[in-house]
Amino acid sequence: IAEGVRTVKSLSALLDETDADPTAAARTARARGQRVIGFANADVPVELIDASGCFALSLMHCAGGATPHADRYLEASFSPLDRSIAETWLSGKLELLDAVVFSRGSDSSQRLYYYLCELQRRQLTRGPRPLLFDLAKIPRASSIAYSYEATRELAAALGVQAERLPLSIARRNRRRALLQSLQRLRAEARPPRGTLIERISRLADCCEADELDTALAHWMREPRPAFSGPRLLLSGSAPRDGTLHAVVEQAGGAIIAESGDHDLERLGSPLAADSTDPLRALSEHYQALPHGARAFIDRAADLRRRLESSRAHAVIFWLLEEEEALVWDLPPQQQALQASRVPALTLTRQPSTINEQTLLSLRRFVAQLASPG
Amino acid sequence: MSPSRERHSRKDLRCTAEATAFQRRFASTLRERVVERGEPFVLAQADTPHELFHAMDIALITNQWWSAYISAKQLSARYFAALEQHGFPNNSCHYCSLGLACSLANDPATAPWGGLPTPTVLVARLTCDCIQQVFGQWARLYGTDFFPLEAPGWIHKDPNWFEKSNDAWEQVYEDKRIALLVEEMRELIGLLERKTARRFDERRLEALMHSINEQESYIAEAAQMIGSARPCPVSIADQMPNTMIPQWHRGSEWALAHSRRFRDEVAERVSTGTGAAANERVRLMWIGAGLWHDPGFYNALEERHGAVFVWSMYTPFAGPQYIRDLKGQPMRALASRICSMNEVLHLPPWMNGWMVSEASRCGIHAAVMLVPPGNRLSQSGTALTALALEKAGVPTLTLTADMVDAKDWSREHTVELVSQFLRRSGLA
Repeated sequence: IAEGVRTVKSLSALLDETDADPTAAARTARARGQRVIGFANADVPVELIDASGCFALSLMHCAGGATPHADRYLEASFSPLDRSIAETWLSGKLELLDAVVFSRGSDSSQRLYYYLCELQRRQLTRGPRPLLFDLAKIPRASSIAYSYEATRELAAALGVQAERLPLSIARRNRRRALLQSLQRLRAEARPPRGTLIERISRLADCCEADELDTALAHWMREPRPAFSGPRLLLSGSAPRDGTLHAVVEQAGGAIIAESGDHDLERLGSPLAADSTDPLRALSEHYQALPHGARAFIDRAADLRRRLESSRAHAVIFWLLEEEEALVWDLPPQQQALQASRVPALTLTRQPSTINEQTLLSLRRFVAQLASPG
Repeated sequence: MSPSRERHSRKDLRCTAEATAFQRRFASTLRERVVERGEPFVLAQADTPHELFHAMDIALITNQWWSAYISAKQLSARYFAALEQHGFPNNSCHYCSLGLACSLANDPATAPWGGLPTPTVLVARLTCDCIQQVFGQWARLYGTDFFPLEAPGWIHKDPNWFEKSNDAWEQVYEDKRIALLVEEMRELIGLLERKTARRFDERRLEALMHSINEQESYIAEAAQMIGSARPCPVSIADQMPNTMIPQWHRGSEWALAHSRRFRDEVAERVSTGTGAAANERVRLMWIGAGLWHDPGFYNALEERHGAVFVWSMYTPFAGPQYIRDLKGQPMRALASRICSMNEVLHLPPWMNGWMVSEASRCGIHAAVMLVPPGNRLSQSGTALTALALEKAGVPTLTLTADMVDAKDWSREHTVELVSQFLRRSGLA
């Protein structure tokens, strides 16, 4: 138990440090001569960044805060995260990075790529080199072949060392396996706290990968208290922090699964480690990844699967005002829940900063689940 | 004048009435083909290869045209309410979804044509995150196929694309992007042949492409004259129907003849010095889709300020984005036309590069830019374009309004906003 306590502290300490200074590990890497490459989406192949000897830094940490610089150039419909990334960029706070990889798999993100290229062309900003991972998501041979070429082009742009790629894939597979195990733990009677999971999910790719994975693996072996309150699944847009998870916990519930860009399954299943063409394996993995706005999946069926596997009692739909894709799946998802008599709270057109009305709705919903009578 | 008549714009050209009459006849024929005779038809976005459907003699209903048709019948509010009743949040994209909303409402008594029958195929380029959702749901509702087309990234960023797009299209639009769309089009043709028993003939497409080149060259000539003549011979209220209606029928005998008539009538007005307004003092640029629910707005500033809407994208777009040196490769030439149709109008640097150049060519004094609040695609690029225009000395007013949803629109309020803007800019 004593050893376990030390390990929990180690993961918590790592997350605390990262939360307080999300670019600290990247700066350390830079100081020892590594280039730092930013990325914002789950369908950016982090393996390629790693195989080019660079430190891969998630830009999810940019979320939040006022965006006066970005507001000059970005229209209202950009996602709050992309707006915050633009703000951080335009404020000169991404000078640490050599490049940022945006994905064609998200409309808001790929538009930001064009805007930043244009702002640099017009000498209205400086900062890292914007790169586009030109992923084509239609499940069709021509899109698969196109995505393969896009993967090769990104590898060339990043300067991937081919001999490093299998190791980088293995390293990312280790993360995939850990996150999948973590999600399985959440389905048990003693689930980890949702607030902690949210921090792991949001901050993991700001940490040095080996350090985080080691700490996480140790922590997952530790005992956890039993939980008998309402178990909830959070579906929809990615929240910028752990407020939603925290308010559910304060009300006596627990978020034990997510569905969206923030969920623990977003990296997909581990890739075959022995592929003779690792670039093709990577390309096909990301092309078929059932995550992101442009994935071709039945989200109602996907929600039912997650409900079953997580043993959740109820669902919270939380969708940002700027959400363009997931809103179209809401009615079939709601119908699926009604058919299964699964209670749901639907919160649409939400601001990225959780407001009082939302907090109140959440508390009431969890309280009703806890005392249905 | 009744409120419904006030919404209409003034039309100065004889050919405008001919175009709208043709379109009415066409709508009636189309209805007869798809509703009464049950012919196969494609429901497609505007930025898809219509040429394939024309070459295969498959009826086509364009989503944007259908949306404008519903909107013009003042039914948009009714169907957006239906969308909400079906559980879709009311901030979902309106321009692309009005047709779906009409289908979901499933109310033959009020729907135009009693509602659409089942399309053979729905086709859309995935230019924003909502399109695959809207078209996917629409296809599922009808139990038919949705054939999505990729909208791949575009790395070769040339702000002066319009100077070389007719000939150097492989370079401007990138070979790999063109090749991808050619492959997709061949697959789409296969699907259409299987579902309709009609055959695609590339020679027929080539002939159509030649006709389209001729048609677009007439429109491009008209655009050149409109930009250089003083006063402006025709406002955008006349330009839009005379460009867009032939564009829906591009390459047809009628479209070719009509575009020539339009060019000739513009030339006639230029030669006699006839202007859209009697007192042209301010030349305005309209940036964005047409204001389909209140086209009369375009004439509303003429009398008060001598302000004429000289430019909208539709007419000048014909030259750079449609005309193609075929080089014996009609499929590739067609792909180069389609593969960036939306991007050049909505993304930097193509959008701002072209619009700044056009403002200079047309002697524009100020621009009015439509920014629909619920449509990411139509909003896209507007802020950077406004800044580029301002830097080029063209004051730019942003209007927050929707092109098909009249719910929050007030003509009087908007005219006042533009008037204040013109006064602030020293133009009125």
